[in-house]
Amino acid sequence: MSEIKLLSSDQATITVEKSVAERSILIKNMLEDVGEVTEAIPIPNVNENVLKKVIEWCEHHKGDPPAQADDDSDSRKKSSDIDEWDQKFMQVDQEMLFEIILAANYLDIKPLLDVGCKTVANMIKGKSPEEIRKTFNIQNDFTPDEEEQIRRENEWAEESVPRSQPLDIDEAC
Amino acid sequence: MTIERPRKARFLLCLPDELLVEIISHLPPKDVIPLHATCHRLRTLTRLDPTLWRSLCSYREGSSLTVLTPPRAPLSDVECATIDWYTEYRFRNAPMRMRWVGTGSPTMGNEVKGIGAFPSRGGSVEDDMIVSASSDGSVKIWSLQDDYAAKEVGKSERGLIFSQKKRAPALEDQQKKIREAGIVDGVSIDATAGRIWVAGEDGLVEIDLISLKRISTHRFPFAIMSLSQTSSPYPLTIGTTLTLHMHDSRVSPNSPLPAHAHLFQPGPLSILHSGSSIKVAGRFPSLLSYDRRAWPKLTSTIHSGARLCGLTTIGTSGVAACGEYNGKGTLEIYPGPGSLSPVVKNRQTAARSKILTVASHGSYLVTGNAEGCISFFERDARTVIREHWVEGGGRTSSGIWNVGEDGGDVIRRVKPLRGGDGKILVWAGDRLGLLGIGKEQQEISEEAVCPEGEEEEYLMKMRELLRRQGEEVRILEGMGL
Repeated sequence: MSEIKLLSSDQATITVEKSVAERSILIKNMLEDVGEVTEAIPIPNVNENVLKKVIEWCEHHKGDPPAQADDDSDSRKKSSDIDEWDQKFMQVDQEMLFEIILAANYLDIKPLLDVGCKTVANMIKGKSPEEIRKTFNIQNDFTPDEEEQIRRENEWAEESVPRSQPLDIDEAC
Repeated sequence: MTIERPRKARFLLCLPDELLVEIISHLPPKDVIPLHATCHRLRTLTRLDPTLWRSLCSYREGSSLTVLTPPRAPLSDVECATIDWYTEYRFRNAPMRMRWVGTGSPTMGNEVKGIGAFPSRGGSVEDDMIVSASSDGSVKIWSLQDDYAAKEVGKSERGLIFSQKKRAPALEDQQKKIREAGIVDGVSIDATAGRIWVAGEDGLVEIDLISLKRISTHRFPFAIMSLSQTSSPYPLTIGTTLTLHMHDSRVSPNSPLPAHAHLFQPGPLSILHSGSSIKVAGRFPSLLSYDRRAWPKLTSTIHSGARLCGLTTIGTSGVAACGEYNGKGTLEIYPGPGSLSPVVKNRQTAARSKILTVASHGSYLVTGNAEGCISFFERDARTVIREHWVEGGGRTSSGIWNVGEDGGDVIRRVKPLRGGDGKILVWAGDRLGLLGIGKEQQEISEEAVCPEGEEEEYLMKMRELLRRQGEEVRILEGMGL
């Protein structure tokens, strides 16, 4: 079984199985183009910690069937199910989470990107604008006038919140 | 080749737009809406991005699958760009509310007889002023306020649109006459020229938009039955009982009538301008099509078979028509020339009673029928998106006990206002209302009151029914069982 070396942005060399590294479409295509390489492949956008984390994910998921090329259906997108292992894997601080998303995007690992985005989406779900701002450290840059205008536009949705509460309870059960 | 510097993503907003969009695409609509109010960047991505809400318009809560029902009469790219898809989403899903203009209950002799809308500022495309013609012959102008209120800002003298020869003494008579005439498309506004055109008793009355004074009266050989909406730079088209006229406002009222088209059957009820063509529907079984360049020659007819009374454009050249067929409502779609989509005539499920009015709103059609129901249809004329019953409407009349109960007010016209948040001006019975999105206010809480009233009514009816059943049993017992 062949192994390849990856060079992270902070000059750390990590050795991985080729089949694991090929979960990344970027690396896979690169290897196909270049053929056999003995030198470490530079990954200039990803630091050691994040790269290790990404490789950990790739190792766990190396047996997964390859994702369908154009599986961009909304049903996949709207379901918030994340498998248990991935949920644990994603229990990291926000900075690491966003770094993983960036790395997954850069390395072109679609399933990992999905898991990352779903994790963030789940953090947004069910929150008020104020709570979202607090969670993600977002500055409120609206003027009071703008805020009032937005409030009026979205008033109808606020009203429907009590109605959706029983559903949430059902889900909890 | 430039090597990108390693990016540090400490906060959510450090992520590039495309990844934020990716994250947002995992959210259902109700969780996207709070993002509108977080900050400018997220607002741009969630509120102002047309593709997001366009796809969410076909999203159904509770099903994991997105139900895709592509509009049968396709949307042109130009239309897609003009639709505010968040507004569209709200009109498809949010609770609706109706607010009546004025007191809501017309005083005697003051019923609405015609409506129109125009933008108050020149060059603006936001309709924020509405015009109503009343049965006492006056014309009123209302200014739309926030929160769906309308303030009366101008009122002409009474009898302005009546015949000038015999004024005050026979006012009652005249009211009767104008009521009998049943003109629906009786008001047309040219905001750029500052004119209101009203189909008055003695002809076309030209009124100054600012002073609300009569400028001139143009007489026609027959009674006016309908007016087109003005679409500058095109001239107004006027339909009288037996003729069609193109009206050039520069022509003096006393000069002889220019070339006009004769109708073979009387009663044009709706005139629609669509590009250079003029479409006419009325008390005849076909849709007549004229062309300005070949005026007054009839260029084509489309057979419908129904009695059509309302027309609207869909897409670039398609026409939607509504009316009555065998006592039921009909909604018909005639795609324009060159379109691949089929002609649709929905005479089965469109409405139980005559549909008097149809209008395009966003990517769907709004119709109003004689029973007080405002229905939203997809452009296939079959799929109902939602319904709104005007108070006193036949919401309960489907039950077996309610046969013979009064229906709601007849919906005479629905007129979507341009700009703003897509409110719909509704002329129901003798009143004017604004239909839009949002919670019902306390003072007009028809939605809030109705369920309670309904419940009470239901309980009373159940009690009555049980009582009758009890009586029946007693009678049967008395018969020796």
